[in-house]
Amino acid sequence: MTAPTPPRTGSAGSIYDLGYRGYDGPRLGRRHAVGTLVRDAFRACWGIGRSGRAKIVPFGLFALAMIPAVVAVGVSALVSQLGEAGGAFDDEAIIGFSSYFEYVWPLVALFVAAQAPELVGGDQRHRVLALLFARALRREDYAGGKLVALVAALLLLLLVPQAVILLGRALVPADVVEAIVADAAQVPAVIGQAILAAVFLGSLGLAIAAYTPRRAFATAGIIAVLIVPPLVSAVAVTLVGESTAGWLTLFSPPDILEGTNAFFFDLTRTSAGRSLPDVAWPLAAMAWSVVAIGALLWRYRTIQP
Amino acid sequence: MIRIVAAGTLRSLFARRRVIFLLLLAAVPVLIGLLARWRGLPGEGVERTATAIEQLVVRAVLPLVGLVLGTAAIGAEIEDGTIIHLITKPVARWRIAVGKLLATTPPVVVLVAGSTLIAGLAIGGDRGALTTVLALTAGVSLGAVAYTFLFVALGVLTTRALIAGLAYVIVWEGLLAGLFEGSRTLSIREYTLAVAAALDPGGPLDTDLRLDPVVAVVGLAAVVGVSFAVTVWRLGRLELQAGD
Amino acid sequence: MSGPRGPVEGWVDPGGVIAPAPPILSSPQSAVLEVPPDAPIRVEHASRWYGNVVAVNDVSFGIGAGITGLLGPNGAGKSTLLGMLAGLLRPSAGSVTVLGRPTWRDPGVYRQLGLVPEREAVPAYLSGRRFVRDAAALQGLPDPGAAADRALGIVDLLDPADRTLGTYSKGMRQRAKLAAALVHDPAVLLLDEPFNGMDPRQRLHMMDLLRQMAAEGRTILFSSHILEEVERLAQQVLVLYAGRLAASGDFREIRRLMTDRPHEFTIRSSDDRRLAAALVAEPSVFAAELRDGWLIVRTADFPAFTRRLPVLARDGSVTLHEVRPTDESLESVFAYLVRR
Repeated sequence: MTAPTPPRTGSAGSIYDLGYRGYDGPRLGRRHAVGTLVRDAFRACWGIGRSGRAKIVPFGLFALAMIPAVVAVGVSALVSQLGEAGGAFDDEAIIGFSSYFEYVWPLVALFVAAQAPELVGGDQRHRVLALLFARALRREDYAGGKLVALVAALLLLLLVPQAVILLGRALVPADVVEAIVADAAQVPAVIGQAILAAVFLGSLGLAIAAYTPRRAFATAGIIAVLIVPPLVSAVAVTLVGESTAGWLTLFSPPDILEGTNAFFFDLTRTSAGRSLPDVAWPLAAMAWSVVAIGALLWRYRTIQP
Repeated sequence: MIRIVAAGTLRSLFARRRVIFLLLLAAVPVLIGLLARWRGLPGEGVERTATAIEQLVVRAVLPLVGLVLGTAAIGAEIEDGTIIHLITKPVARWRIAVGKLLATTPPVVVLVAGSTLIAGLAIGGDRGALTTVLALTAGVSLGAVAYTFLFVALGVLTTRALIAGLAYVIVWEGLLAGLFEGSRTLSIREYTLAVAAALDPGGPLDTDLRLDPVVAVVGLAAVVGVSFAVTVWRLGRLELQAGD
Repeated sequence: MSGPRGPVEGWVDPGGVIAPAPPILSSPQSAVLEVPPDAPIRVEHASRWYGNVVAVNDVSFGIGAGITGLLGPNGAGKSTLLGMLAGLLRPSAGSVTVLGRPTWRDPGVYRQLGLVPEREAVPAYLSGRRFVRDAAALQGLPDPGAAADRALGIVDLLDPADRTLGTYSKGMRQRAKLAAALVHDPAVLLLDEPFNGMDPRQRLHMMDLLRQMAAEGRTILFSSHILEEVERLAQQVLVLYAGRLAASGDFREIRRLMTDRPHEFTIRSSDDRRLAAALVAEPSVFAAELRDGWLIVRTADFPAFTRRLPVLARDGSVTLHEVRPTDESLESVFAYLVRR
């Protein structure tokens, strides 16, 4: 900054130069803005930087998600303590990767239902969008950045417990290395399922949340989309048969997730939708994700801040 | 005075988006019913009707409709601050509560009972399921009243009423009540089904696991009474910001 | 002076200070206060805290008919204090009574009390008329429609009365809230930052309105952080700073009480320099300055100075054209108070 210039004086008034200057130096650009947005959104997902109450739901859900993982480690510790007698337990006692997904996905869904509205509702409610869009950040950067943050949070929720389970399973049998190698074959499937589930649920939830500034509406909408369609398809199949109504399951997120689980881990489905080929489910998940992301981008392209 | 509160509440509850959402929700069982009517598989009608209604209405439509309207009755006004105009009037808090509940409960009951009746008759009306359907309609109506009162109270108690209500329905009534015997006595869903079972003895709902109907009725009354008391108590002690 | 419900008298101090607030130099907490028992608004040692944060700290005062301004910077506790007066917040300590009744948990008090809140929150889907009419009906008025129309007429909102509140401008919404607060003819009216967002014409109109209502004997308390508004409208002020009552009464009187701060006068006379020379010799004057054709005098002893100035002018054959106190504005009073 240069030294302040001396005051200009006329006969009736004076102007004082207080030394304020414009800034002509280097500016961090779009990439930095997006990075900051993603980082802040990720923190918001977990309630970091907010009051204690904001952390209850995300961390509570994380704790619940960790329960089977902790149990798995506990059991394996127990078994190794028992030594010979512990041979009675085999690794069937510890939860498997695919069955873990069946346990955890409602928690992930609740996480999305609770936190997606927090991510996008607040900015709309408090009319912050005008400020944000006046920066280097583009509208699609905003939408995309929020989504990346949410998906990252969901991946944490899905993969951290899985990693701990892997550990638990590996420590049970006598030959640790062999156990790890055996499980390693499943790791790509675990990661694939996790990514697909995170993107699918995240984009769906965020798209719904983006359309209303009111948190309660958004949460209700997300929950409705998760609860009602599976019941509908299940009942429909019971009433009119699998062949007529089986395809309804492609509209039901829980069924889609169950289907992708079956696809990745090579299981057979016995519930509604069993007539559909295994590959239908990941395709449906990807298709819905594309639709949801499109809706999300559209919302932020056209919103009047 | 109560009438004005009720009328005002009705006006505010039926915001366009909310109405569309609720109508769609209540229409889902009806659409399934029509589908069943058109392309239904042959087979045991009564059992399937009961299962369908239980799955669609009792587990989903009933609590969701109750949740959306109930938490909005007072909760929405607290959230957007317009409650101040009601609070700063010389109206007894119990009158406010009565007016709100009087406006909120009938729409819930009508939506849910209507959905049950039409869908049920569509699925199994001509397969001898009439008694079951009527029993379910009655049970669901009582359940609707209980859910509404509960969620209105929740709406006054906390700003996160919707999440709390969802946690109750999904976690408590859904997961835990299935696990622990004792917790079944504290579930509006179970009360609903028990009432329906009692009105349709020998029907598909009348299983060993059902609660005693007396317990159910007492439970429903308790939910209604306690929720009302809590609503009035909390309305009297509501603290609001006069400014920002 | 008589109000809508009979004469109100006996507690307005002729010196201009309403409440028996202690002289500025002692702290309100230490003095033994006697708030007059029949003041329409009585606050006695009221405090409000949120956990560790004290928003209102041991405030005591009484307010009567007329317009009183509650002045303070943002965050001083004005809204919290108004919230307690309006029965929206429970005092953590002390008592807050309006017309003899504690405001907390007493819906009946709203028969005599009207509140114009600061928040924008009005039901957007109601028409102005409907909104005011509902307020009238909830007040138990026998003819809500007529009362509503009368109130709408007072605030000059009859023309757009049938449009929804969502279509109103900010100033119109403010007037609608005022109409709803007036519709039952309350004896006490509380307004939280009522001139926010109003254009000058609307502001003048509302000020006239409030003056008229005060003349009818109503007790009006409004809060503001804009000094000019308070100076123009309020007969008495309460100055709130960081939750404490820093001063109360007529602000000119308060100024006079600030004896540790010199008074400043601006004088225009026929011979400034000669007058200045004479004044500098006076013990009551400690500075005189000739600036831009004016004589600016600073004195620590206001009464002595006011006695000596005309004498000196006459003795020196100087004609005084203009004598003006320069720092009796509310702004200077306020700046002084918050700096202590």
